[in-house]
Amino acid sequence: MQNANGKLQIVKSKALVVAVAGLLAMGIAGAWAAGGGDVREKKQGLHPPIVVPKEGQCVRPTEWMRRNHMDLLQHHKVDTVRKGVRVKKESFDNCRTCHTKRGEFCDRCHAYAAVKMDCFDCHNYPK
Amino acid sequence: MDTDRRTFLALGASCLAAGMMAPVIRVFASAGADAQGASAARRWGMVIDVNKCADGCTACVEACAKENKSPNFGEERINIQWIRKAEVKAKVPGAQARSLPLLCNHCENPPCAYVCPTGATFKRDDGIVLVDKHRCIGCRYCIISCPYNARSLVFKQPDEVEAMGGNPDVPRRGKGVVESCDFCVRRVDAGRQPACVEACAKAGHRALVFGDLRDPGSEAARLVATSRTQTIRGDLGTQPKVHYMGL
Repeated sequence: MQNANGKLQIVKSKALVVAVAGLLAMGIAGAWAAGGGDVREKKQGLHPPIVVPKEGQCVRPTEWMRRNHMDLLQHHKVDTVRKGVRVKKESFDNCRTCHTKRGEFCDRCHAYAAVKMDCFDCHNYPK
Repeated sequence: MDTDRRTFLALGASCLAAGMMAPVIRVFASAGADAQGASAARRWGMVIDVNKCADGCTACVEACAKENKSPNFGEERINIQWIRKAEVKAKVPGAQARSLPLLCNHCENPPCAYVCPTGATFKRDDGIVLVDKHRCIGCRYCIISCPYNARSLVFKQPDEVEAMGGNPDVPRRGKGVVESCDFCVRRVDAGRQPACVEACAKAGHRALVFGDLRDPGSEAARLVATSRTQTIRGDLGTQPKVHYMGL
């Protein structure tokens, strides 16, 4: 019994070592792949630079805008159409003063993120 | 840190008070000049003096088409028309035909808004009946319900009109949504008159008068109060805000 138990323990520890090694290998591979991914992205130019020709402060912090600009647009859309609230400072027309080219701003990031936007099916990007 | 019961309670109370004040402060902060939006104290309406409206003059129709980039597809059936001229004749012998413009009546009880299944058609606080094109699914229920035949469906994307340029403030037309006269809501919000009213004055007729029907000082309200005005199909209870004089 004791022998058998000892054997079992050895088998158990071997399994543990294999598992730990496997996890380590996966981690390293993952890190490598992630690093490689970044390089590939830059090399192939999948994420071209987002061009903001004019320096300045956006209506919200940049980090916030990156994640939540759609909510802001949606909110203003409802407010403008249904309540007649027209805030010039946060209008599409005002976005254009810094983000002069739609192609180098909206389109570029949306193409990268593969998120379809339908704003411009009807709206003109102000010129 | 030692906090006695009294300090703790006072702190709690002040936190609660601050929390309750926050929305109030926000309301005051958002009540800036350009952030007020449509006010329920106003009722935009129009008075049309049929005696001043000239036969054969289509200045208002043309100005509307230009302002709102209404395309002419060359097909009566699918053309988008927000305002049109009509000839009316009383059913009495010897009556003269009258020429007058017909447009969305911006009813106080708009049947189009009541039947809309998505809430796309609605009456704004200042009484203007609008289509929220983001929500319209093109079912055309409103077209059927409108007693004034004032609505059109966009049957196709009028690319040639876009190529012609036109008013950049007005969005492109989305295919498959319903449209009607919006009293040139962008102009009204900017404190200007609708395009048809401006064009009529420019043509020297001044048959169209636009204004706030709830403001006794406005010309439109004065005309409704002092002259004999009529609304179209007033018997339906829609309470139109387009009043006709001299019919």
